[in-house]
Amino acid sequence: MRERPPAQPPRVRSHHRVSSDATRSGIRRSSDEGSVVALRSARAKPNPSPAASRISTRQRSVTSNRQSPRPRNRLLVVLAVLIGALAAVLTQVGAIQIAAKGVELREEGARQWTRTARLSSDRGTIFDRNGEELAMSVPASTVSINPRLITDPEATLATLMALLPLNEDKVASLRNEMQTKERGFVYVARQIPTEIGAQISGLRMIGVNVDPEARRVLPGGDTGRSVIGRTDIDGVGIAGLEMQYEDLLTGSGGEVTRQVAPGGRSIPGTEEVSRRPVAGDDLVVTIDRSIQFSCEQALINQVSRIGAKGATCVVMDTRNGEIYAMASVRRNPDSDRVEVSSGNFAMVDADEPGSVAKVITVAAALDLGVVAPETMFSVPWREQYYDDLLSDAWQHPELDWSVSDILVTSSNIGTIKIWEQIGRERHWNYLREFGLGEPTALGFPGESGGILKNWTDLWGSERVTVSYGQGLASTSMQLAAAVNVIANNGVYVEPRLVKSVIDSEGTVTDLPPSATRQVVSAKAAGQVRDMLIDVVCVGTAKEARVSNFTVAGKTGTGLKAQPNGTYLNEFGQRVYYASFVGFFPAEDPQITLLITVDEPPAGSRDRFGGTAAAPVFARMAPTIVHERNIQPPENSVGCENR
Amino acid sequence: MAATFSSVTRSTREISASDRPARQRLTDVSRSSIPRPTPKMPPVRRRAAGAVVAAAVVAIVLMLMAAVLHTQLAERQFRIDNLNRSVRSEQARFAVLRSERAELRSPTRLANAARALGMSPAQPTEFLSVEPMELARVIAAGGALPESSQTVIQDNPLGQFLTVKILRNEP
Repeated sequence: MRERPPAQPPRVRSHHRVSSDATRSGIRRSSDEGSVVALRSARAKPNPSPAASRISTRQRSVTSNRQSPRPRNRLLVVLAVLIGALAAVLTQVGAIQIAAKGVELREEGARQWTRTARLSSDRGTIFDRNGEELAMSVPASTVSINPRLITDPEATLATLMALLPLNEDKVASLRNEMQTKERGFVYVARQIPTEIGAQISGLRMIGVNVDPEARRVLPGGDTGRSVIGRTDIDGVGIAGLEMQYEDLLTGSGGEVTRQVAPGGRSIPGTEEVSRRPVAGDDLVVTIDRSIQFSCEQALINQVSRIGAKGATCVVMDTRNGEIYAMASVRRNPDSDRVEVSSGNFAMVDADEPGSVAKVITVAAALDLGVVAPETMFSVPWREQYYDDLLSDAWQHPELDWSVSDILVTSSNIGTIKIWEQIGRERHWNYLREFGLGEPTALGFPGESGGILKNWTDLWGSERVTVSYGQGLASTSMQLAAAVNVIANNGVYVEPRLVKSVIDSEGTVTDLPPSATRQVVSAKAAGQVRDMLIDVVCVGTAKEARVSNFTVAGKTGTGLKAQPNGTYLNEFGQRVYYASFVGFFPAEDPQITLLITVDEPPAGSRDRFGGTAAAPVFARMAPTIVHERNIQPPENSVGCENR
Repeated sequence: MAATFSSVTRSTREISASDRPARQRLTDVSRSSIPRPTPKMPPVRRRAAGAVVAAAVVAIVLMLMAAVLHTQLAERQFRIDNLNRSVRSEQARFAVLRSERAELRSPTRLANAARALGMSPAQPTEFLSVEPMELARVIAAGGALPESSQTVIQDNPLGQFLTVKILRNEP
């Protein structure tokens, strides 16, 4: 049996007790270590008296404190060092911040581990009045290379050639770039389909980059091209509405930041859009795509048929000036094909309006009350004015014609007789009121204001020929708006091309209606309107008649001034400019339509407004009637009793 | 503290008779030199160790929770990025589809397709006047006038575009 160890007194583990004893004996406990030393001494002697124990503890504690530095001091030293180091760091931080280097350093740091890419904003869409897209941006891809990173130019080129339609010149240029390695960025192909871009991107070729880049498209092909205009390869409007509303259509770009690893690879999930791109506003224009297409097709057919150089067409809402269509076609000198032109010649080209301007002269005379429709004039077929012998288009004996007869037969001499009743200055004022001589409110890029000299600046026979449309020039749009005054009860209404704007949040804001002004009295406009119905029914514009509708209008056959200062071209032939402006239903006009044909063949029957332009009007009218759901008024009688 | 005191007392009583001398010695020693056990706190070292262990456990748990939270955040951010990419992709597809639809509806394509099918432009429209009595008979027979505004294509491209544009801007 094992002997039990001798009984020991219960171990006193409490340091508190010893400590309190030490405290009572005047020795402050400095650390647990000193106390433990004292305890061990106490255990070595089992039966010390309490007093002896206290003395022994005190002595050993004092001895221990004398042998090593006080821990408190050591801690204070360490603390002081730490505080000093911290103060140094804080001082340095403060110095960097105060010296304003903090921001730069932060940016420099961020530059090292982040990459910022530009997010392009969506360019606004151009809609027609029915919400059909006329011009819009679609996603596309752009392929570029960094020649300095390409190690195998031939393999890279072969791969790119297999996927992209690169011509020989482009391939040679790329090969040269890859070999010389002078530049760090070269475009390979821009705005290619995204599917092909994804294929190239999937190959992960070093030095070949594929980036998104929107492509501007006209879904309707050439329809409305001359009005919409176009953008350059960078998506900046350079013609037409694209240029005019560049600021609206272009939004503001954004930025995306992503973190990159030291190797330059992006770290997934670190992409952050630091600035969201704001899409551009959308435009809703007054153009009707179907009417625009019909207009263009009718012009192409007519110009092709008669062999003219080009033609323009303007379809306008009589009451509010909204433009339903504005088309320009031109014969391509290379292919000899007639195409929708990229230039809007209906607004940028100004030509002598010819006999259409007689409408203004007659309306002014009626408005002033200097003549009535029945007022008679003795009209010879030709007469000397200043230094020119002016004449009518055909020879006739001197006849007594009423104002209405003069307009219906389109007599130049008769119109001069009426003009003489008005006076030069007042006639000039009326021309201005009808909108000639200054650009319209459309503000279309490159729009011409036409040519209208001040009445005091007119020279020679110009002073009288302005009465029948020679010696001044107007655009197709100006001419349509001028005749529209007669259709609109004497009120001039500014043409309007943009109906509303849709902002980036989808809010539709209608633009204010067109400005209007009373130019002639409603009575005078009505009298002229009756005369214009006769022009179509029995006058020079019989080919403009439309079944079921009464049409009013005026033909014009002007001469185009040539660079040699005459009306004759290099072959000695007159160069014509044929036009017809009409409106229907004449009893309650809703549509004003202008057709001009540029340079119809000089020797042919088709050189006149009544033969070159009026038939196009007749072909266009049914389409407009259908698209705009126009019904003939109940009191419409057409050309009966005329 | 009370529990410690009573356990010491109980152990003294439970000493068997064979252990008497030892017990006697113990009792003597206890009575003479060992102070009476007093209620006291658990040893400080054990408490400190416990506190350290508890703190370590708490720290580990907190670290694990932080790791889990961070993982969750990263995972959610990843999902958000994926969703954003999907939204952008769908918006791009919407633009492509709009373009294709506009092209399909364009008069140029329709005219070419019609020509290819042998169609030609219609004759000029003739407007016919309807006798009021005939009109009244139609209304009486059918109960109402036939809808004149019926169209084959009911969708509105601008309306759809606006709907998507407004949705895109919603937070």
